[in-house]
Amino acid sequence: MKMFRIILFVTFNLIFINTQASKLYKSRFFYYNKLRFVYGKPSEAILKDILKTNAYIFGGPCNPYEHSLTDKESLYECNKGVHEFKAPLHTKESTIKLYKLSSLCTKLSSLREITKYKDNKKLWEKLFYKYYPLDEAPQFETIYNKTASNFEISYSLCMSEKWQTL
Amino acid sequence: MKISRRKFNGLIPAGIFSLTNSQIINALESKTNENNYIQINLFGSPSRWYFDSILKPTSDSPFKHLNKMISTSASSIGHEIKASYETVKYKKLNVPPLWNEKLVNGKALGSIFDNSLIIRGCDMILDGHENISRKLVTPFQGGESLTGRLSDRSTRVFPTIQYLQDTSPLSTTPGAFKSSLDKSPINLFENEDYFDAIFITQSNSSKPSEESINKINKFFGLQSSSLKKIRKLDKLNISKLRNKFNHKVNAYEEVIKKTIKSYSSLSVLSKDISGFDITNHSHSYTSTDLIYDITAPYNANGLIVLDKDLKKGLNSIIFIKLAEQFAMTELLLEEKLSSSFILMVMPPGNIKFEKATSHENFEIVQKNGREIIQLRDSSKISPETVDFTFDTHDYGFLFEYVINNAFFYTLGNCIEKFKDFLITHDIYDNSLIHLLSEFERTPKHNLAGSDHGFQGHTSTLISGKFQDLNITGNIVTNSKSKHVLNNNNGTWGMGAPIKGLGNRTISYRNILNTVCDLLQVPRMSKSDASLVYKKDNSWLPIFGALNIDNEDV
Repeated sequence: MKMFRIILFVTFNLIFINTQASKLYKSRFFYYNKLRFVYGKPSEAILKDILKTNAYIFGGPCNPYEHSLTDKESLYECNKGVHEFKAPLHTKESTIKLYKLSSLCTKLSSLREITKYKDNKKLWEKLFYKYYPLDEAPQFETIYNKTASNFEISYSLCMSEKWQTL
Repeated sequence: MKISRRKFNGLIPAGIFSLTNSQIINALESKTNENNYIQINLFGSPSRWYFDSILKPTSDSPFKHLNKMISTSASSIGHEIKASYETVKYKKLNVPPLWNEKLVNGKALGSIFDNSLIIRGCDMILDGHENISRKLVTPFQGGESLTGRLSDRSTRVFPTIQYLQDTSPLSTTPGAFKSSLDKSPINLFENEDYFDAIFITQSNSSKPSEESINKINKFFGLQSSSLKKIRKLDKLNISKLRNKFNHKVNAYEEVIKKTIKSYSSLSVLSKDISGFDITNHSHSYTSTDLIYDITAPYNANGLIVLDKDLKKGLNSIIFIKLAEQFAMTELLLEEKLSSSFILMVMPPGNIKFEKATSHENFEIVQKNGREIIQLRDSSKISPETVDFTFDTHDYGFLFEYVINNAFFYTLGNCIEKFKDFLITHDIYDNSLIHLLSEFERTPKHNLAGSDHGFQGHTSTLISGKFQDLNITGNIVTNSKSKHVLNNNNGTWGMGAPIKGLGNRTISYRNILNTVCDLLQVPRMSKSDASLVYKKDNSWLPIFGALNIDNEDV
């Protein structure tokens, strides 16, 4: 009987692993707006450089009728061709995306405006709530107390999954 | 045999266990044995009888040359066109004359097939480029793809790398990628720098430490398997890699340049091949002759080439991204970053002619009681640049003959260089190069080009897993069928039944299962046989290659 229970337990766990839906991530448009909101105008060039040109990696189809747009700075440009309208609306986990995001977060966390924060806890707290406006204070305290450098606070928040997933 | 209820109940979880965990078992198996898969995909389907579609494998294979389009030797002076299907002996097979040409490294071109299996006579059942192109990696439309399966089982950082063509890139083979573990392929586009699309140059001063990456993991639950992979990428010396990539691109470009220089010395291109000579076309025509029929062999998508030497157009030929595709594949294999690749090879472009005109600029007029062909307006002759397409519906025989021979010679040289890389890195035995296109081509009767021969498909597998040059698959000697396009066209590669397959023609699922066996992954479809078996560490074809003289097929 005990053996039977073990087999049943293992089996149902494996069924759970096999059937659970994989995480979905928001599109490059959300990433752009969120990170632009957190890091301000100086981040625009970095964001455009990495997010605009990677529709398939970050998701977010372009607008094939872009030529009729009045806002020429639109992110909806089909940078690599009109076929980018086939880019996914949202993406799943991928190494290349994480690799690109890591580079993006490194660049954003090295912005002069961010390094100016130094040990100003209030500024860091502000940054935290820009990422997670609905989160409770203890979480910020944990991050702030456990990270070794200012760069790490910004980088950790930028890489954290919660704000990226649907 | 009686079985108690208790025992039966005990079997249920075991059954469910085995059904749900094939992915986990696959992943565990794959760690010990990772094979590389490199698909060279000629989307558009060029005429392969110049290269690896073997239509008369032995001297006694029945072969009917009923249409001059299916020729491997050609010449034209004035309006006289000579064309024949010639073969040369390479090892035990009769092969196209291109196989005897010297590669830039001095070997015969045929040597790229020294360890290969040529599968011919596969019936693709339905027509359509994009439809069949997607089928080239997946046995069931919308289901798991071979590339997805290989990515799921791979331990490499990147899943399948797909180099896309410029035309409808995701409606073709790359668009059929589907993984059971929800992985996404890396698509590289024609108009981007392949290296920059994958790798990122970071300044050393601000690289995140491993410690900080671990901390994120604790706070926000990022998956550690992914983090491990980006840690591996962060450790790469990107500028060194960039130099390596550039060096590889230069080496392939050098090979391509040398092949272009060698075109004039190729014996397949040694005879005169002239454009349409208006002065020599003053003899009588019957009024039923259409201008289109008369000018068809010289037609390049609506333009009639008037140059004295058609081969001169090859001097300016370019191969878009060919060097980059091979170079990036080499780099990622060398760094063990990926193990499966789809190279969507683009047709050559920038073929320049001094004199060409539209076929609408010709007319047939009565002169001295005879009908002659003449130009309506000689001022409408101008220099033209033609971009080739593999889908040669409207590319006449002579034009196609010149460009296809040149293209396959260059591609053959690139494959040889790539094969040499696999051998020197000791991965030839666990790599599989799969050269394919959607289908064969059926010739048009007036030498005007060729149409879709979807009842025939050739897949060539090159790997150290084969000890010799092998061929399998039956073809029909003369296709007389209800399909008008195939009617009485002689031997062009249309599939014929194989006795050992239950009198059935090879289907693409047989080929996919063959690829799976060679790559040591579970077969894609359970009910279709593989075409190979293993004997003494080498793979051999199960069936032979017959030309079947069956007029009713």
